[in-house]
Amino acid sequence: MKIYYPFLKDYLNTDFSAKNMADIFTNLGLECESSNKTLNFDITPNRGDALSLNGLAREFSASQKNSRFIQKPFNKVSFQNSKDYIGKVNNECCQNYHLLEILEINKFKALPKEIVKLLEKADIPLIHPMVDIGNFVMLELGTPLHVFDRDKLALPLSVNFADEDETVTIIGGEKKILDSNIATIRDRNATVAIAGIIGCDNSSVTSETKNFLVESAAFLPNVIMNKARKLGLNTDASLRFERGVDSTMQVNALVRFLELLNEITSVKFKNFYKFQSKNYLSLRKIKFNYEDLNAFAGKKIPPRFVDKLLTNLGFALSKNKQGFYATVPSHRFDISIKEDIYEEVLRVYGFDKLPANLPLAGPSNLKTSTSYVQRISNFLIANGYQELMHLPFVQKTYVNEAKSILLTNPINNEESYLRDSLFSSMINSLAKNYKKGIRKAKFFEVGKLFSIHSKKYKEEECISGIIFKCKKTKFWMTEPKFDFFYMKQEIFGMLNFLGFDDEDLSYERENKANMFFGKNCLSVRLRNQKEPFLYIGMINHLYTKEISETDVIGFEFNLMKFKSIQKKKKISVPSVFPFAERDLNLLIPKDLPFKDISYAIKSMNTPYLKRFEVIDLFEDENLGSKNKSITIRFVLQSKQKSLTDEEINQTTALILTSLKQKFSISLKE
Amino acid sequence: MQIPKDLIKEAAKKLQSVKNKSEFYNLRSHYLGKKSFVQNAFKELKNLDGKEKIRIAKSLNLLREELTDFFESVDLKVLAVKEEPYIDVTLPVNANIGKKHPISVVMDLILDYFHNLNYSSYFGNEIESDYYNFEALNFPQNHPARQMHDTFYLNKSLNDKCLLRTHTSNTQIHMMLNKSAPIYMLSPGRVYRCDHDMTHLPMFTQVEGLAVDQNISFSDLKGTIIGFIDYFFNQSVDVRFRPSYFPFTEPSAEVDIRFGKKGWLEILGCGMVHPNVLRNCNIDARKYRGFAFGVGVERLAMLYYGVEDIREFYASNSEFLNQI
Repeated sequence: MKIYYPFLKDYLNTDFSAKNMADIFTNLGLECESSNKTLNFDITPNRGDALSLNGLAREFSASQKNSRFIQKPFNKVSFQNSKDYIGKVNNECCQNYHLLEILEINKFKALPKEIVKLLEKADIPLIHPMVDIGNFVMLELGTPLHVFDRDKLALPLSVNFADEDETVTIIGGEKKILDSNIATIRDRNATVAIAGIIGCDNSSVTSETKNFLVESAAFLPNVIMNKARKLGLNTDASLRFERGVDSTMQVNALVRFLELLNEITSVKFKNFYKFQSKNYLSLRKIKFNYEDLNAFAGKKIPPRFVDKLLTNLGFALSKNKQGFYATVPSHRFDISIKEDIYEEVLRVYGFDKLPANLPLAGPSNLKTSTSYVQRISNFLIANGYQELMHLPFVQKTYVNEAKSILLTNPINNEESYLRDSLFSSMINSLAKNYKKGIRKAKFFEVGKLFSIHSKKYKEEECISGIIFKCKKTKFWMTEPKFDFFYMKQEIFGMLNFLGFDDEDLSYERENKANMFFGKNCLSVRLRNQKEPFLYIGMINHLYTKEISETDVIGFEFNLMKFKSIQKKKKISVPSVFPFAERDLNLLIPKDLPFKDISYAIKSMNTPYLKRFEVIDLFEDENLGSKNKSITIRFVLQSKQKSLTDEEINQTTALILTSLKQKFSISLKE
Repeated sequence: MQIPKDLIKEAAKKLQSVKNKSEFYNLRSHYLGKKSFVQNAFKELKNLDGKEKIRIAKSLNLLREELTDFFESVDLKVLAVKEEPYIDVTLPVNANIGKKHPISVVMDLILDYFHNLNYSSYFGNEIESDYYNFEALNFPQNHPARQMHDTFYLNKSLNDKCLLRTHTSNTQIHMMLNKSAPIYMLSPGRVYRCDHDMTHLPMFTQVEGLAVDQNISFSDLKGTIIGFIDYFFNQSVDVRFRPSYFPFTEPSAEVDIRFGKKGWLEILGCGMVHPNVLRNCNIDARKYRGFAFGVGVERLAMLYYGVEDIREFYASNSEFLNQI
């Protein structure tokens, strides 16, 4: 809401500068900025009462010492109940409904300049003198008015909910489809206005109009809330009604309207009509206790301050020993419990005048579960990975459509899916950085993956990383290539760092990980779990076309599937006896995974075998296209004695025989 | 034939001036090589008589053994140390180190402060039902307050009406329902609103705090927030608590800060927990009071690092991110 500063200054009868005034309102909780002689208020949804000059004046005087807001008295007029004018009014739509009939108006003088200025600065367009006066009254008293062309109506008017899918043409000619939760005003023939939002084209005033009907009603907030938004019509009227309009103001608004109208034309024929529901003026009462307020605030607030302030804001107090019962004024829709009254007191008293006390938190009943995220992040950062963050909205082509989640209202229709992998954004970022000349990078991201599983939304926390290094990257020191095994070494190092070693893990070649991995992919799972929690693999070249000069390697670590296991490890004293090494140079089939050989050796439970490692791999035409040579070094040691050559040779012979039985393996001469 | 007596002593003396392996091998070959005295003497044994030949041969054998033992006893590693070559220690290296994302750094700072006050953190779900995101937090259906949160809704193929949470307060509801008071907790995480410009992104990071205990007052809220601001900015900052409105707190305040004479900057929202929220979580609102606050991590990060466009944080420009 924008208010022309010179107008407000006169209205409030004060000398404060625009900036000072803006500060005062802001400190009261009515956020306000001043620019170009205009105060721009950003009123929160709970404070419909402040959307008027009257409301602002009430707030302003409450904050000033020796100031009291006094409503100027209105003329008394008498209203008739006439079924010829107001027909059925649904109580659920509105608490009162008033009409002012004005007939035979031929000419208007110009509106007073200050009213024109106020409307212009408030961004309210000038339409017709009658409508403009209505808008001015709305700005002044907070209750919106609507002006009909009396001659276009087939009276009486009634207020009720619309028919489902009813179509109306609103002022300006646009068509709107209504539903049965939206209230409308109807005459005998048709809908003539959407209640509290906008009038219809069929009853609007024009320069030709001579006879007018001015509507002043208190539509209920529940009936208006969200409706204007749904219809794409946020009007000044709907803004006020959905926040709550003072139900005592409708009569006064019409009186004020007539008063202003008399200034610009001579009104000869006028009639007032009313409908008022029985209890439209019933008010809430709230019990208040000074001591409780003080405990709530952490400071003793003087009772005199409390009493004066609340009286000034329109509350009626009936005192008792500990406090009072406060009757909430009809313009305050936001006050229903004692804490609401505490807020009134404290916001005007000033939050800044309350002491600051740092409480001893806890001991808390809560325990944070150990999270691997920090440890994994720290490990990756120490290994050269840069953390990235991306929005989770991705294109259709980057998700498994059958299982992925679509947004109803995406920011941009291109990216309307929630990611089910972190790779698409990371690969895009890699390409962007590549374009800027980055030739070597390690990235990781922590984030949620979203999908639908057995008709339920599922979100899983995940850490993924990608690495790439162009072959031409040169540095005077020899640096490792960023290939699959480089990443595997890092990630297995990480698992070890987290306390998991070979004994806890099981892994195999994988071809169903997700769309981003190519054919060389490894899955890792905990031995006691069925599902893998980790994939490491080469990123499918389909997705890395922009960086075609090198492979991109990635990993995806699903924290939801990584169930921590409590292990009690025993630490034993190492053997003091010498160890022996024997190398076996084997000829093996190319497609025999080392994992199988390794598993076979481990399951032999060979005595004295301490560990074994691959020390050489070799492929050559001479070995044949289906074979490769592998050299495995066996380290043997006893805890009780020095091993003899014979024992050592027997052990390696045993291993070799056993491997030969299981696989088509031979010793390479 | 004369056999020199102090050949070993002499070798030991010469060894002291040996600087590297090659000098060592030269020395050894001087005493044991083909042209050494010992080898030459062996060659000349044939010229000697029987007894003399046996005596000299014995002595020579002994000498050769002693020399061999002597050279074998030399620790070549010591010589290797002596061999240390000159290197240019000023040559550059690639420090193989990554960086945390600035949002993570700022998040950690925030969490550190509150963890030290014994608050616990819960991250919670990002997909949420309307009830936990709005209703339980005292946002009635259709209330204009909901318009303050432009919400992303998920496709309606499933039964429940689900959305991307618009704040992390949903986690607080889950925790209050699961645990009994007193509660001192943080709910950090990502939240979503349909909004996109220089200062707003459709996704951002929040840390919300909640304290529920007996005798909690607005002063406790103030002290906690001011303490945090002092810790976070580590310089003198003016702080202002300005009345505002959130459905789940009553009263509600925005906290503004000011460095020197510059204008006020809004940095967080807070307030006393609305009794309806406590009631929705089965907490006795007559016995317990609470305060809550919510910090936008990106906003703090922008101030902390002097970044003006929030979108920079998510542009993944490694030159930008590497400056941390």
